Amino acid sequence: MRGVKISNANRQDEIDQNLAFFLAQLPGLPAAANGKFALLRHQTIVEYYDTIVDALKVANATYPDRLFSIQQVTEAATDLGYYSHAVPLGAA
Amino acid sequence: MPCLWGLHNNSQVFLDVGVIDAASLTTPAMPGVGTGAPTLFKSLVDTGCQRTMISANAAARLGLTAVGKIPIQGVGPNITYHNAYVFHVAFFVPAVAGGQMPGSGAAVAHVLPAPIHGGEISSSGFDVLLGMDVISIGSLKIEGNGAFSFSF
Repeated sequence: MRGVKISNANRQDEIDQNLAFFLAQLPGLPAAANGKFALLRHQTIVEYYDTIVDALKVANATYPDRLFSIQQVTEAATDLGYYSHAVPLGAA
Repeated sequence: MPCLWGLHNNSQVFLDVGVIDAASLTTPAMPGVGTGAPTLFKSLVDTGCQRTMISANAAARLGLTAVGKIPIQGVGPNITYHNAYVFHVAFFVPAVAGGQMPGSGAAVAHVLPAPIHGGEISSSGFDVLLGMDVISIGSLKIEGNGAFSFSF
């Protein structure tokens, strides 16, 4: 990716802002999108994909500045089992 | 079917695994046997964990790029969002040649073909929390004599 300077801080900001947008939209997203992977850029849902890999390939090819994020359309949280009982979970 | 084995401590099973970045892919990855030399990390095998997770330290060491966030639920009702990564997990299986005893030769890396969409955890004595998304591809056997084996 010659000529494209990627800032980790900018990327993290993009991820955080996209997440806030995504969570606000989540209850109203179409049922057909459930379980799919939403590609987001600048607080907009660009497209839904069946797999994280599909979304990632398109995102990497389309956005060389890497300013995007991918969120799965689900309200279910992951249970970490043993770990979550042993270690306090803060946002990592 | 490749098989690896080791000892457990009657409360936990630890296993060294390799982790390879998969987030920069633009074409389908071609993992398999012996592709490169993945960085090794200590993992805790946790059958109660739904998704494989990686420590912040390991993610930084590998230069992994977060692709989004994953909702994680702990003991209580609260959900926290953790940075998510896409990576491959690799197992190292001792290469046993004819007439050789297990453990006396080199290890062969077996990179699992399906990328893992895992989240970030804080480091706590291990760097990878090996969840059911990986464990369920094979057979995990915990034995009363202190040994365990995993074939996949």
